Amino acid sequence: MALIVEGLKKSYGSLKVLDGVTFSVDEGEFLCIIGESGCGKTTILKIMAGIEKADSGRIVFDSEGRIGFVFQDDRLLPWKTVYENVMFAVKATGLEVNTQAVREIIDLVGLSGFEDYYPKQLSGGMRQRVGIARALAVQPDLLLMDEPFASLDARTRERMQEELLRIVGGKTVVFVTHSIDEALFLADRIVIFSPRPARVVRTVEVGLPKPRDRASQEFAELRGELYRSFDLYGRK
Amino acid sequence: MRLKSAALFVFLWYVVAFFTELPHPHEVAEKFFYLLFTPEPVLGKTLLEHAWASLLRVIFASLVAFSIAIPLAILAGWNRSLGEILMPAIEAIRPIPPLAWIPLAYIIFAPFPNTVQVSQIFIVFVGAFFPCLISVFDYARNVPGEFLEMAKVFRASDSLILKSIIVPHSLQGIMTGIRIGLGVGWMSIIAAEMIATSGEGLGYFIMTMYQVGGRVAEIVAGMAMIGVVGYIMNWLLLKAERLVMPWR
Repeated sequence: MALIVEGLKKSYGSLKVLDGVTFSVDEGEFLCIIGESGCGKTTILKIMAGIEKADSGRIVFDSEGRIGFVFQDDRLLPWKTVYENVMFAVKATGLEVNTQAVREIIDLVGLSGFEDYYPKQLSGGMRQRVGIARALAVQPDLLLMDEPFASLDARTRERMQEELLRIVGGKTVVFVTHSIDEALFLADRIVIFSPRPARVVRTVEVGLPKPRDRASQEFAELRGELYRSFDLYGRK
Repeated sequence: MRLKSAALFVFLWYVVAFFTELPHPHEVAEKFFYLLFTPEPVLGKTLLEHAWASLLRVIFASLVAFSIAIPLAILAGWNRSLGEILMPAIEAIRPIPPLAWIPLAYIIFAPFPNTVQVSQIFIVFVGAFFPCLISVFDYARNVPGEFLEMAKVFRASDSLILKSIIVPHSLQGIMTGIRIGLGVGWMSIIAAEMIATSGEGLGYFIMTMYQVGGRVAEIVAGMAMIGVVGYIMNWLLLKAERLVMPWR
């Protein structure tokens, strides 16, 4: 699925959050949005997911399709097992219930054998894997991810990033983060938001082939450039 | 620790019994175990039979109370406007003690052939209903918004949200409500049985023992039975919580 976000504006009371946000997402693209905390990144995702309304502006999708959402906090239902949590999304979306497909997705995120565990019995990283499995289980045409790895420790986070690229394959993904390194590792293109109220201040094509080597010269150069841009436009 | 606590209790009991009419612990214990299986001559029933009679009334009345209170509380918790209409009325009626309903119950249920029995059931119903309703409502109303937002993102229907989120989240409230409701119901039945002739039941037994000439050992043995049954009910329900909510 491809889409265009056009001039989105949104305020909560007198608090202006989005101030005419415009960008596009191509079919099969992995797009990262970076910006300071509280700059309106989550709001954009909620509007894309259809659970919030913009005051003005619009989002144009090139086709009908399903949306998968991965939350910053895992949002797993504590009374449901791993399998049941994934199945919840399948039922909610109204897809045909396919036990085998759900098991395959749980396997894909590396949790086979944990189907009958409750969220409480899992580590933070494992819970986020369940969150990813749940989003993938609806066979999304667009995957929205809201800082899904923000609460993980550094090493787990890097491993999850590596696996994420394998797991999502060629899906269209919009991934929100405030980590430049994370965006640089994952994204085909990076959109930098200004501090609140958010506008797009810069878009960066990341030309490096994947999987990327975090220790390479090119990675370091691009990172330096991004940090400079972000300091210039993305911070107060 | 429990042993120490029991020893202290028995010791204090002896001290108080030394100065008052209260029978000594060993007298009560003896009477208690004797009457457990041997019928007491005035009413011709054992303590266990009296306890069972009271318990049956409580269980029946509480089941009726819970089967109305739980769905009602979940609906009121889920639907804000229903909750806003219902709960102030509930809050106004709730502070009235179950026993205060007795005279009214006699009048309302006068057309029934067994007015006393029906009234007793009604009193227990009142006692069990409100704590259960309040407890469940509290949970049903406070379902975390994050879960509901997640459900909306995946386009879940209202019935799926009810079944998979509201009800399971309220389960703790349901279990607590059942436990407290049964406890209040148990207190209510004993009191209700004391006021009206009911042929059997622990409250009736105690009151009869008083009326036939202040037989203190029997009275206290009956009180002990009330305590034992109440304790066991509570303990069983706490155990059941683990079974019903394995995710905790």
